[in-house]
This record gives sequence, C-alpha cells and structure tokens, in this order.
Amino acid sequence: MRAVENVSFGVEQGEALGIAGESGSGKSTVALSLLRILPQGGYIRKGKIMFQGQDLVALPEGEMRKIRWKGISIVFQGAMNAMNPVYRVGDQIAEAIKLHENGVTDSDVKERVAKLFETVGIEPSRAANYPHEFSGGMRQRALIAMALAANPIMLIGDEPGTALDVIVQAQTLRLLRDLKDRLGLAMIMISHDLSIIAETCEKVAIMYAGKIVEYGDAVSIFKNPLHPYTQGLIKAFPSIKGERVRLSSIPGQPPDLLNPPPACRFNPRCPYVMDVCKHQEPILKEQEKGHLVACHLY
Amino acid sequence: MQAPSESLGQVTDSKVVAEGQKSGKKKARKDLRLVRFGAADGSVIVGMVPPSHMLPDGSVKGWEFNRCYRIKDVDKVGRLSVVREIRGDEEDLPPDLQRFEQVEEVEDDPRIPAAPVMSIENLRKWYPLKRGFFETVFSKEEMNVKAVDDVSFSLSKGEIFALAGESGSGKTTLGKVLLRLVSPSGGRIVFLGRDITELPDSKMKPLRREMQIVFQDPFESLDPRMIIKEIIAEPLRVLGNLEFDASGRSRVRKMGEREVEERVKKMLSEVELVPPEEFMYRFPHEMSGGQRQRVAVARAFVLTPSFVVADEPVSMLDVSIRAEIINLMVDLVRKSQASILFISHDIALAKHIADRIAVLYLGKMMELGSAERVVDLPLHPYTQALISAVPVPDPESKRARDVISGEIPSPVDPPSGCRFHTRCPYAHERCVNEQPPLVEVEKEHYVACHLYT
Repeated sequence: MRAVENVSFGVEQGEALGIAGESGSGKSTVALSLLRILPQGGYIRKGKIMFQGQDLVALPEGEMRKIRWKGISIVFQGAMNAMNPVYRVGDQIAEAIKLHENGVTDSDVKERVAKLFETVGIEPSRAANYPHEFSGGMRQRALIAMALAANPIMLIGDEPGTALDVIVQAQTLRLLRDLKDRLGLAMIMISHDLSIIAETCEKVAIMYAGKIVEYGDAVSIFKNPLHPYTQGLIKAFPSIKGERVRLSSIPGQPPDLLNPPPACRFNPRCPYVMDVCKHQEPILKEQEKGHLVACHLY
Repeated sequence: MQAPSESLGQVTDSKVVAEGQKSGKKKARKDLRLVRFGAADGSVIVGMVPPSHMLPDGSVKGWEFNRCYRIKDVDKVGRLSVVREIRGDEEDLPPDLQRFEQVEEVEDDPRIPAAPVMSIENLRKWYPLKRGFFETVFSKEEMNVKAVDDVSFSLSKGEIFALAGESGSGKTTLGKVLLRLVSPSGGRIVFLGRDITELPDSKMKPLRREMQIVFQDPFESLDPRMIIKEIIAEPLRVLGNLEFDASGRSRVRKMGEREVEERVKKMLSEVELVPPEEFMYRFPHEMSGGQRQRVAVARAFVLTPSFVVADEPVSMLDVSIRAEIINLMVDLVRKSQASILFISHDIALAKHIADRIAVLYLGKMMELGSAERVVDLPLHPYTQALISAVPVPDPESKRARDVISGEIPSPVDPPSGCRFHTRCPYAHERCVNEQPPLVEVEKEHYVACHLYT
C-alpha cells in the first residue's frame, strides 16, 4: 500500500505549515516519516528529507536519534494517553532532557523543567504531580513542554487540538502560536480540521489519498481555493458567522488506498469531473504565485 | 379552548377508533377519534385526533393532524379502505392537506398551546460521593456530584433542540436522564403527556419504542458480531416484531420475517446506504466510520420514535463527512416529525441545524433561546466565550480573538453563586454570593446572569 506518494514541501524557521486531509489521506504518515518512526513494515521507498542540510532518509539510525527531540520533536494526539501514568509529570520531562543531553546536573534539569512549565503556562510546583492529577488541557500543555524539552528546531503537532473542548483547544492553539513566534520554531500542524490550520499556519498543504492536491500560503488557499476537494472541505465547515444554511458535503467515501481510483484520485467524488481526469494524472503546478494545485481544470 | 384562526373544515362524521386495549384490568389508553372531511376534489380525508382537540363548534384543530389518510371508499359496515397514508410527503399532498401542514407549522401562536413531546422541570441528577468510614462519623454533610442541577425545558414536536457546553457540563447525563437510562434525583420528566419520572422499568418498556439514542462512537456502539440487518432489526425484534397501528398505541399484528427485512431495507435506503442488499449482510468492521454512523441512525429511527437523543453523533467523524450525516438526520427528523435532543460541544454546528440552543455549565442552564439569537447575540459571558473559541476557517481573522483562561471546575464542589464567576471577565461581588435566576431578556431568549437582573 502506498500511503504517501510524491509529497514535497518546505518549512522555514518561524513558519508553520498545516497539512490537512481526511483520515487515511496519509497526513500522519508524512509526520512519522519525517522522524523515521513509521510503524513496523512501513518504510520510505524514495525521496529526500532535507533537514538543515542533512538528508534524514540516508542518515544512519544512530545519527537519526540525535535529530529526534533535539532537531525535530512531536506532540502526539490524545493528550490523555500519551503520558506514563505511574511517573510524575516533571520526572517524565526530566528524563527526556537527561537522555538527550550528556552531563547535565540534576539541579540544572530541575530548573529547566520549571522553566518549561512556565513557558507553557503551568505552575512549576505542579511538576511533582502525576498525570491523573492534571486536567485535559494541562496534560496537553505538559506534552508540549515535553516536546520542547531538548530545545528543538522544529515541532510537529499531530492533531493537537482534537479531543479537547473548544475553549481548551483555543487555549492550546494560542500557546502553540505564541511559542512559534517566541522561540522561532518551525512548525508542522497536522489536522483534519481546516479551521485549526487556518488559525495557526501560514502555509497549507491539502492532502488527498496520499498526495498533495493543493499547496500554498494560507490566505490564498482559504480565500481562493482552487481544487474542488479544497472547495468542498471549506464549504463543509459550519460557519459560526452568517446565515443558517444547509451544510454542504463532499459526496462519496474516501478512497481505498489499496486500490486507489485511476488517474486523478479525487475523480469519483469530483463535481467537475471530465474525461481526462480518469485517464491522466494531474500534476501539481503553480497557478498563482506560490499557490500550487493538481487539477485538470487549470 | 379557543378556536384556531382558521377552521380546518367541518367534521362530517366522527367516531371513536383505536380504543386502546381494554384487556384485563388495564386501563384504556386515550381514545382517538376518527374525523372525516369532504375534500375539495370530492374524495374524503380522514384523520385521527384525540377527543380533546375537537372543538365545540364541530371543527377540529388542525395542528394535531399528524396522521391523515385518503379514503377511497367506505363500505357498508363502515370499515374504511385506506388508499394510503399521506404524511410528510410534501409533493404528493393534495391542496387541502397542504393547508393542514401549514397550519401545523404555525409557530408562536399563543392561542394554540402545542403539546410538548418531552418536558422537564427542575430536573436534577446528583451522584453521591463515596466516603470513608471516618468521614461519615465526623461529618454529617453529604457530598454530591451535581451533574445536572435544576434544569427545565420542553421540546415540541419535530423540534431540534441543541445542548451545548464543555465536557463536564452535564449534557450527556441530561440526555441519559431524559431517556430514563439513569433515574433522576429530583424534578419531573413528562414524556408524551405522561409523567415518567418514577415510572417502573416494566411500564417504561412500552414507552421505550418512542425514545431512541444515537451514540457518539460508531466504532463502539455497533455489535461487531452482528450483521447490519440484525443490528437494524433488533429494536423491532425486542418488541416482538409487532406492528402498531397508525395511532402508535395499539398492536395490530405480528410482522413476518419478510416484512422485517423490508423495513430494514427501507431504513437502509433512507440513510442512503444503497443498494440495501449490498450492506445488509456486512459486519460493522467492513464499513467506514460514516457508514457505521448511518447504520446507528437507521437503528434509532426504525421504530419511528417521537424522541431521539443524538449524543455528539458526528464528533468522531471527519469534517468532510459530518455534513452528510447531519443533513441525513435533519431530513429524517423533518420527515418523521420526531423531536431531537442534539448534544454537541460544537456550537457552530448547532447553529445551523437546531431550532433552539441551551447552554449548560456545571449542570446549570446558562442560556436558552433560538439558535440564531443565541449564536448571533449571545447574552451570557460563558456563551460568548464558547463562541469566540470556535476556530474560524479564515486565516486573516486569527489574531482578533480573546480566549478565557482556566478550565471547567470540579462539579463536586462547584463555585458558589454563579458557577461561572471563577472564569467570568465581568464577575462582581454579587456573582460570588447569589445564584442568578434564569430570566427572559427578549422574547423566548433566557439567560442566567446578574448582568441582566
């Protein structure tokens, strides 16, 4: 099964890229590939991941370990289950620091943990608590603190807002945005929720069935979506502003990646489908400046 | 009782039908009266109404006309041969019936107090806390988790009523109490004119076919060992495959296996799993999340219930397929005239589909009003906070929002006075000491906040 095919993008320091798509579109696989932590059986067949001038695909495992956490770190979804319930939260973060930095003293680590807690807006005294003593929002913050433990250059958020309540979600997103600006992080946000991406990212990649179908800066994608799939996704969103309307949807089912539709993978669900869509695969090309789309309409 | 503005027509004949089962010592259920009209095109329209809705001058209040039949002929013995049921299918309605439908939809007519399908008064659900032996010795005070505390509202027929709030606000508990899946600790629940607050389970059972639930997670709410056909047929089987008459009160006959299958097929095509034959013999694991949730919806509607609780029915699904499931449910509600309690933390979604929205916080109702007013002109600071926290798919508006800090406090020992005062940007002394009552600020728009009292 080809979970991800021909995906290319770039992220600069202090910039956030959002990867949006339905479940099964391959967006999480992209994230895991960047860290080379694909589940068993999965492997990167071809391509390059250039990180600060190094190709991560070609890197030996020992070198890769140095990249993880210090270079690129990840905040997983499901704040409720991502921590070890039998260790104190502070100790779990301290462990990450000790593992990645040789020769740090215990008092240094303690200080660093307290500072990380402050950075994400938790009382440093709570470091002695166990995960169950934290609320959902605090756990999410602690996970972010943990991801920042080794001062990474890039942060990946895999569905960081889902499973949280709207208010806590808004708080978390704001924290991530602030951290990015304050620490100059490069960020990749992965979400099926376009509005979360609109809130946090400057660049957006829309994925469908393992491929990027549209790529560009957030404003031009949301103001002027070109791909019919992107248009459908944006329209499917219930807007809090404006008139009450019947929600529109994208008919049909997400494709089966074992047996994807031929040529353009969106053709069975596309309202503008033409003959050529069933025979020839559209390539991603620049339509406007910095706004790429893979669709035969253009 | 006053006559409606427009009489629907003179009753030419009326008699009691569907007398309810008078078997044994059971009390007769409410009688239904069959009334007959001469329609404009010469045919006869017959509908069922309870006697209380017959007016003294011989006319009938049309809004109760939930079931209408076009009668082809009446034979000598007085038996009717019903051509078909006309109900809900708008295109096919003859002009005279369309008028009934319109009258039925007239809202806010103070002269016609529409009977609510479900109404609750001061409903409470408190869970007592388990305490150790010494605590019980030294302190007499009882500790309770006040999951739902003094909530009142009513749902009218065909209404979509949304409950919004964060997790821990008590919305799911409230849904379960309404279905009597957990019993309330206080207050009153009236369902279809009957007080079901303390009704024993044996008496609840026949009412259960009128109330259904769609759960949040379609991966856990369907039995993995049953095929789809059996999942949808199960509610029918639980009730012994009995077919009920048009009034829904008395049993007519037992359905055969073939008829059950027909019903399942009909439901599957209503939830757009077509062709039904392709899906009937699948197991849940052979379907996608969206398809499973369609099955859950079909199962809830197979008994044509009058009241459905939908507990976050789309929050587990991808955004792109949410709209389809939501539209499907809205259509089913409009068609079957069922009332829905739609539980959702997504207030944007509630705005588009619900008629009214109630906002809960720590088991208390904070605001209640029409969906449009509550979202466009939120009165309570908590509602305002909920709405401003909703992410907007517009990258240019992102810096303009204010987010309140903190999280929902523990319901074991909720804040005194107004429960929201610990997080409220407008909190003053009164909010700490005094609980604000729910007051009507504009027509049909209620809020519990000291800013308005």
